[in-house]
Amino acid sequence: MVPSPRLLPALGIATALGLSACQSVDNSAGRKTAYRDVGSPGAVSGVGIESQDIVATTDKMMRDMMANPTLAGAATPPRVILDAAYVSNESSQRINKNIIVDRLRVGLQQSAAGRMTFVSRENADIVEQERELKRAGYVDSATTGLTRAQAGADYRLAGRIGSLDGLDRRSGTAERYSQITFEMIDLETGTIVWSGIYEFKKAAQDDVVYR
Amino acid sequence: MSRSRERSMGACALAGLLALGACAGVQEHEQEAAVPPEEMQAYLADQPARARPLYATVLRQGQRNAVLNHMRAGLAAFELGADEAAARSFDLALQGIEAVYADNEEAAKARSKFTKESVKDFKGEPYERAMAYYYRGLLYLRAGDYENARASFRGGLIQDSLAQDEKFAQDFALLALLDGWASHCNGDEALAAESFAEARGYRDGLTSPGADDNLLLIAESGKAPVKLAAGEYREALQFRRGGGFVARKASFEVAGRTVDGSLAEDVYWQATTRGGREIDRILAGKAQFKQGSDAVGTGLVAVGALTALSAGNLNDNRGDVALAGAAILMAGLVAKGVAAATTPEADARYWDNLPDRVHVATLQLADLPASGTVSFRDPGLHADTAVTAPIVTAGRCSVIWARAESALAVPPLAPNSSAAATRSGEQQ
Repeated sequence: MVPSPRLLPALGIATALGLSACQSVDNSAGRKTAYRDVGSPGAVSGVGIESQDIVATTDKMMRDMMANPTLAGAATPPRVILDAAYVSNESSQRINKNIIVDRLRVGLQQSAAGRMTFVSRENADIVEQERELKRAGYVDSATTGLTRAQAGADYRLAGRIGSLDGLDRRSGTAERYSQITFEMIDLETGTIVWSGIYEFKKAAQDDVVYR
Repeated sequence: MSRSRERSMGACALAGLLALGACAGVQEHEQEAAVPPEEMQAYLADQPARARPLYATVLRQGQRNAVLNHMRAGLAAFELGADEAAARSFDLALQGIEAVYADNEEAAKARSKFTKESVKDFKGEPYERAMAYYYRGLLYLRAGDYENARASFRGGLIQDSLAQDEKFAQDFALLALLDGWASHCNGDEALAAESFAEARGYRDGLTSPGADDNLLLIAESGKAPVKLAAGEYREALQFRRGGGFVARKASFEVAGRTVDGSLAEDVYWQATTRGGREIDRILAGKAQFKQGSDAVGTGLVAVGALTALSAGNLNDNRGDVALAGAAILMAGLVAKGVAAATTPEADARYWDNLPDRVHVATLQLADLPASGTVSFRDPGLHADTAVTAPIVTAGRCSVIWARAESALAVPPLAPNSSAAATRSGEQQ
């Protein structure tokens, strides 16, 4: 059966209409790696702590600590330990606490420019190994000389990450309040010489097909 | 109207009908991608050997089923003791679960009348999401990272809150118990006590671990809840128990001490108590539209055919009546085509290597051996089964985990995950 030439456009339209009713499938060949700003929300986001939150939190902490006279204004630069050993995560979000504390330590060390001295307690074992090699005569004493012991610290970072979650079952809206608290503890007296709290709340609604 | 013109109009209608009908069959998103062998080989090289058939599916089925396939492959890797690979898989699965799908193109397509719900990226039902958090939490426990283990179990409890029926919202006793166990192992006894009380509130018969308990014992039995697309147009999502060796009792024997496990979770019960989904209303609407279009089409085809036939009995206006009849017939065929193309079918993809139920116990043991024995009992239906399982220690606490049904005893493709998976499911 050969359709009349005048009806061929109609035949085409009927077919096109029919096919356009089907979904189109994304057959794109992917996307090249692109750098994104660490301080801005990414393409994939949820209600938890994300890179932009870590950047904002640690930047604010650095400013707060640098403005504290006990930490940044002492005649003799205080020795501080900044690691995640005493930072606890009680939130509902899995997180690598080192990401927060490492950014803080590196940023603070750069900003402090000698006004604070940073002691690495998490690497104490590699320091001890080298000290033993020097004292046993396997290696020389290097250039800065020997000390009686590793450096003790005046202050140490402690903190807590917490969250409160809410979920509206009808609308599918999820909400999370995240709270990060940090304190600098005097390692001789136990007093808190500095503390800071950083909090934010995020809400998002999933598509109805996931509710 | 000339005979050739009538034939041509019929051809138009038929073309449109056939094109629309094509939507109703296998849709493009249900096809699997052909992966170049060298790419596949490179991807599988660092995956545990026995779980490779499941990992190969991750690559073939792409983003749409990434969460589902990582759940399956991750669990298989977990059973094999390949904790690094399992952690990678569950991290990717949880990343997909936690991503908020707002203004998402694929999610929008799932609402379309002419696209199956299964076009959307799989995130699983709340019980599946909660179980992904459970396994990620167990991996953290096995690594001695109790804070992130606790965060995982809490994340799972939040997913369980998605139940529409408030009576059953957030009642995942297993996760609450393990949340407490993670706090206990971390030395946070006040938090542990709160979580243990929560777990006891969710399920009678659960008891809090002793203050000095240091060994967590877990026995999983039975097969995963099965999802079915039921109804005239397969628009209703239903569940049935997966069967297999469902233990009515589980006990553990370690270093000469025996302890019975308490039933901490019934996964099938969790699957069936969430209440209706919002998407069910959309699917019901699609089914109604399909039924309506089909009925209208049938009516118009009959009227059109009768009108065209009656033209033969007329002397005057014979051509016009025949043309009108053909037009009505064509409209009817188009309506039937639209009905055929409407796809109310519920998404029945599911995580098929989950267990049906989980028994838990805890013990205090000073000197832990390398392994223990887990016994599963289902008197009258199955012979008693005993499994030797390794004891994994990291930090203050240890874990022993065993299954009556292997997580590896599943086909490479998850049920209903692709056209090939559906075909193979129909053949079984």
